[in-house]
Amino acid sequence: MIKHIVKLRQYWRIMTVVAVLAAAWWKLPVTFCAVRLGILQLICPIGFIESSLATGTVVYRLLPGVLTVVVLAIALGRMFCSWTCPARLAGHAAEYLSRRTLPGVAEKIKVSWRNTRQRFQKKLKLSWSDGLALLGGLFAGIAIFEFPAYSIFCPVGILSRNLIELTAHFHLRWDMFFLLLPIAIGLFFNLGWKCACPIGLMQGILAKPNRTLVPVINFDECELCGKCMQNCNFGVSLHKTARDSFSCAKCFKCLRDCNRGAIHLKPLAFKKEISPIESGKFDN
Amino acid sequence: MKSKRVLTSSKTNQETKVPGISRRRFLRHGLQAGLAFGLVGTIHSLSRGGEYVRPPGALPPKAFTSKCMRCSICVEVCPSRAVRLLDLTWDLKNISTPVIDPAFGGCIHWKENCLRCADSCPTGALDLAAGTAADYKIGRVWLKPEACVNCMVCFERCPVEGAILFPNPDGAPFTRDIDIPTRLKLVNSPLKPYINTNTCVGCGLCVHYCPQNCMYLEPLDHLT
Repeated sequence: MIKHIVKLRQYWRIMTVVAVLAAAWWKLPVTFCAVRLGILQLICPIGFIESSLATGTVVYRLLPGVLTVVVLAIALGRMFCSWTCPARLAGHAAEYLSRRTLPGVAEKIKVSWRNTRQRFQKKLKLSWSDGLALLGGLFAGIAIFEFPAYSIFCPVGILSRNLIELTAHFHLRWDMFFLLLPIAIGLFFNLGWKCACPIGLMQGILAKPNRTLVPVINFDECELCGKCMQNCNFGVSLHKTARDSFSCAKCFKCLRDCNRGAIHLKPLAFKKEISPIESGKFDN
Repeated sequence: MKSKRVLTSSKTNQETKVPGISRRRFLRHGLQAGLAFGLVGTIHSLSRGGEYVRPPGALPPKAFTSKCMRCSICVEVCPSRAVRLLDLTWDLKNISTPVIDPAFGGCIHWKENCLRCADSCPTGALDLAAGTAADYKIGRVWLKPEACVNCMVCFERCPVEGAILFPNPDGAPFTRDIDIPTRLKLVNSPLKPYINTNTCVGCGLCVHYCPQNCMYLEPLDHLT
């Protein structure tokens, strides 16, 4: 069952890209930044904040759409990051392609990249809180200088715009160049670009009260192999924190990867369980 | 219960042991916020201004730059594909904002009452509430008479009567193609069409269809 859901996620991510391409071809208002469904306009919360800050007014007509996005984030958690984000999909696709076409070179680049990254990160251990500080400065800058600065460099926006321009006018844009920025910023952060991405941070903050679809370890069966922690793309350590709704993007990889099938999905998890590791059960 | 107590006590221990950490952290976060702020400021100061032909219903240039969130919905829904996003230029603040590019098409609002871009704009940077079709004036066109061959394609394509005129040696200039005597509009005739800048709305249809590429779409001079 879980294997099917993980497969479904792969198809779903590709389908979102196809959906945007098809919408651009048939001239329907569907992008990664904003979607119009009848009278309801779903909109990127960061875009909304930027537009409101830069103009110094709240765009009231957007409030229903923004509220819907907030409710979705609370109900489904950070699903945007693992299920729709085109930047992540592009990154994974690039990695897969390089591994397939040039296996030796790709491996070399990966190793040297990891080394440089570790060297940087030993000196400055930057994490989510630093991302929040950067976001705060960014918002202050947007409010003072009155233009939505992040929108220009947002990798999701750049990919979305390029997909649309490709379908509409059959050309790609030079702003693809800015896609190097997340890679450069990813050098300094513990979890790579994920710590600094404003969209992901906003989704994480909105998803804080989320209590649905929580992966939980059954410690009677767990072998403490640590595979779920190592493979997690979002830095969730299931053994330490019982429910990390800020980080967990519901990709369900941990459920698939567990050898013993010790992780199961709880549809609703309101109680804060304390894991045996924290309580000292596995101290040795 | 026991486990909970262990957990909380260990946390408080950590906090009391190193009191300097929070202050250092505060300083670091302050520096980071300053860095992000400085980057936005740098983009602001490096950015050069520019004037563009925006889709109909656009706010004044400055308000448009701050309100548009670069979602590219206007490019997506434009039926004539006339809207293009600005690419990398030194006008950094306006990167990825929509402009009308006659190389791809002209705005058909004055022909078909379209305004689909303004209708689907989420932020209201393209505003529907500006008035009737004639009130939307997005640019102006000029024609280079030396290259013109009097093909009259611009007369066929123009949605606004009286925006393109043909000189009449005997009186008021012609506004329609069928009124012009054939002897006046020969290829080598010295008389060429010209633009009435008061009535021309700048849709760019004539520019898009001009076979000689001797017409140009220009932004209006905005006062703000």
